[in-house]
Amino acid sequence: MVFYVQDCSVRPVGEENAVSSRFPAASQGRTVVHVDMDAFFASIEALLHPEYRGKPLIVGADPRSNRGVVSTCSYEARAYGVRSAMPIREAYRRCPHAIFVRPDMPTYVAYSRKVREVLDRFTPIVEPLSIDEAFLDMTGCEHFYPSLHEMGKAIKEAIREATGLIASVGIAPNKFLAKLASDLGKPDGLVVVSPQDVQSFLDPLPVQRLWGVGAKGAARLIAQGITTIGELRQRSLPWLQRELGHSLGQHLYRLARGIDERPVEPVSEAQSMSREITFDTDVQDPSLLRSVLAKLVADVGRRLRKEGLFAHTVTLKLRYPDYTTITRQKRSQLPFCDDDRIFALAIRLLESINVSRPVRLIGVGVTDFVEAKQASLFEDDSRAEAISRVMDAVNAKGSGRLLQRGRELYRPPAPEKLDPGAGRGPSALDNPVDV
Amino acid sequence: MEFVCQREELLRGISIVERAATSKESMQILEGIYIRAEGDHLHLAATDLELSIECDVPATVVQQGEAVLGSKVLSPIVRKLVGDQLVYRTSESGVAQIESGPSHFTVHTMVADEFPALPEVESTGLWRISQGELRRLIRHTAFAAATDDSRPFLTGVFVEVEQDEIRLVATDSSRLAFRRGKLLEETDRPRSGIVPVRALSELMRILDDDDDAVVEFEITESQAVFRAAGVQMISRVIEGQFPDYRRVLATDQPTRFRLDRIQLLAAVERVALIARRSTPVVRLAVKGETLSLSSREAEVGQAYEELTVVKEGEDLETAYQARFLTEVLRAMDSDQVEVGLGDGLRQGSITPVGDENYVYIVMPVRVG
Repeated sequence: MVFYVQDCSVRPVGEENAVSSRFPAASQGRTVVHVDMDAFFASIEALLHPEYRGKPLIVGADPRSNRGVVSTCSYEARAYGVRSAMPIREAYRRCPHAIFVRPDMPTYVAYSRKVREVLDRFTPIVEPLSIDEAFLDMTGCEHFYPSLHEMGKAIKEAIREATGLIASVGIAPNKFLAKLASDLGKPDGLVVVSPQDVQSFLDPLPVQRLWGVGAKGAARLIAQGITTIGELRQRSLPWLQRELGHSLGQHLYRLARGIDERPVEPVSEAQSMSREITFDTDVQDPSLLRSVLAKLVADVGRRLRKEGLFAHTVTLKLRYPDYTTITRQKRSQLPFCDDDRIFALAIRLLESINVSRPVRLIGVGVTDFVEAKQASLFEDDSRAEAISRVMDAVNAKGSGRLLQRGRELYRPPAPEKLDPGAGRGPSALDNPVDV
Repeated sequence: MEFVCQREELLRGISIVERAATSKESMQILEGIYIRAEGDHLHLAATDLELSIECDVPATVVQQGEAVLGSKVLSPIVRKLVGDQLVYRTSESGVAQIESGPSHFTVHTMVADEFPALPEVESTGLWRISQGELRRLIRHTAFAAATDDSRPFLTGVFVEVEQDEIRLVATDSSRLAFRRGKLLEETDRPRSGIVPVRALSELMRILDDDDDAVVEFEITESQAVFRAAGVQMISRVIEGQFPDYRRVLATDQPTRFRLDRIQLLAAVERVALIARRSTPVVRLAVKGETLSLSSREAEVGQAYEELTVVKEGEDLETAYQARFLTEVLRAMDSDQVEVGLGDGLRQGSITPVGDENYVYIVMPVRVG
């Protein structure tokens, strides 16, 4: 935050405007950056396969298939009229000599993370919009750069240096204008809209550029002789609300004046991860509860590892048929992310609760996250973790879980105890509930 | 018992021994300082049964005898008195009278017979080392010991004596500090033991500034004995098997670079500021001749800094707990340090340039 100290009591009234134009108030003085990676998937493919460079490249479904669409295409392919989300058959028709590549999401996600790491270096207020787009709130950081243009160059250069990829950047006083600015500069764009230029920037643009104006809305506006944002701005608020409805009219009235107060909202990380299931029929059999718990642990563990986190605490939740619910926690000094460790703590919690009546619901969660785990000089506890990660990798390949732990398998009690209804319960296992 | 002594001398003695007195309420007698007047001196002692410290203070003994006074009573009185001389006298009823300058105190004493017998030194001959050498050995290693007592054998410093060499090693299992030093004479009795960090830090307080003064010491099966400047300290040794430190003492990392110690320390301290809410972690990345340090904390922000280094080997990235870097860099004396970064989960090292007797090993933190 930047503080501007003003002594109101001695400042002549007439100078107020002069002062506020030099020192904009916080509400109008934001600096929002929109970063949009150019042809993200296609650029990564070209980076990894130099032979693709400079050629029409289409990332998407199999061109021989009747279904599926274009995910991203290179600018060379765009020259043939190929666009994102176009049916892949159509893309093939327009540009049959293009290189067609199936998407490699894990690689794209890895690059997206690298870009995110770069952005995090500039400000803690980063709001990712998608895998290849993000808003940054750089308010208060302006003086680190000779100009906003230099700020944009620094961000583009840092991304290029870390990933080899090109980003288009828009810098403006709010999200709407920043996104518009990055869009207009593509590819390899850098457009800065300073507060005093907002109107001259917006006025010549077609009304379709206003966020919220779809094909229908645009047709209606054009029918009224409104094709540019400047023309829309000439209309009164009541007129717009009459023509477009109360809220859309209000919305476009403000956008046409470059007003957008949505804050850049950094996504805060999850505070806990858990899975629970409700049984079709209440369960008391400890070995069934144990195998269900093992399944839930496998799910929670996989998510924990996928997020790249380690947890300190395991929580066990039980609900009885009368809806009384108990939760118990166990904290480990050393953070963990492997299934064995989570299960060991969870089963100890389950055993510490005297399950003397049937259970309606069982759940397990992990919390108390850290992003890093201290390695030990003398004890190598990476084995259990490595096993879990290998299982994740194998299970990620097929559909369904190819590898399971023995403890997840349920052995019904000995036959003499078996009642006709045995075998119930696990039916619910296939669909544990995400919490 | 009755004696007259210099107040400053008595205060010095009390300050040395009182640190061994317990602060726990459980055994009142262990809160006391034992005083015995005999010949031309006072013998002062305190112990909490793990650590005992004794020393002598010159005095004119009028009537010999012994007494135990609560250290929390005696120590502040002697410190605040203004006279040069102090007169002490115990009456029949066990009440002590202390006079100095214009002040007169009457203080209840504890029964001296209840004071535990201090451990006898089981020595077969003490080793000798210079104060300067011992100080450096402790200063360079003790900070690396474990502070939580889940593994008691890591809460001490492993002391190993062999021929004319002494080696101190401390580790909390995430990092390890090793220093090698010289004894004044060779010994034919190789020995090792784990000495509690508390005993060594008390010893540091007792040792004076004279680097050349001699400390006599010995480690036996059950105790560590140190004698210096008229003070004797006996500590129990910690039971347990100290880990095989030689196995991890590797300094052949694939990336090594040299730089100014203070510069690196200051950079790590700055970058770590951002992450002070949890355990601060600093990422180190070497690329060409540039070392970059960075740190991030969700919902706080990020820090980034670059230093120029003289590098050998490959470019590498790793991350360490900031504390594991700052503590060793503060403890070291050299102007330049050599840092080795391990790849993957292998250990890194920090060594002072021009001093091959000191090795610090640090394990990285794994970022998930």
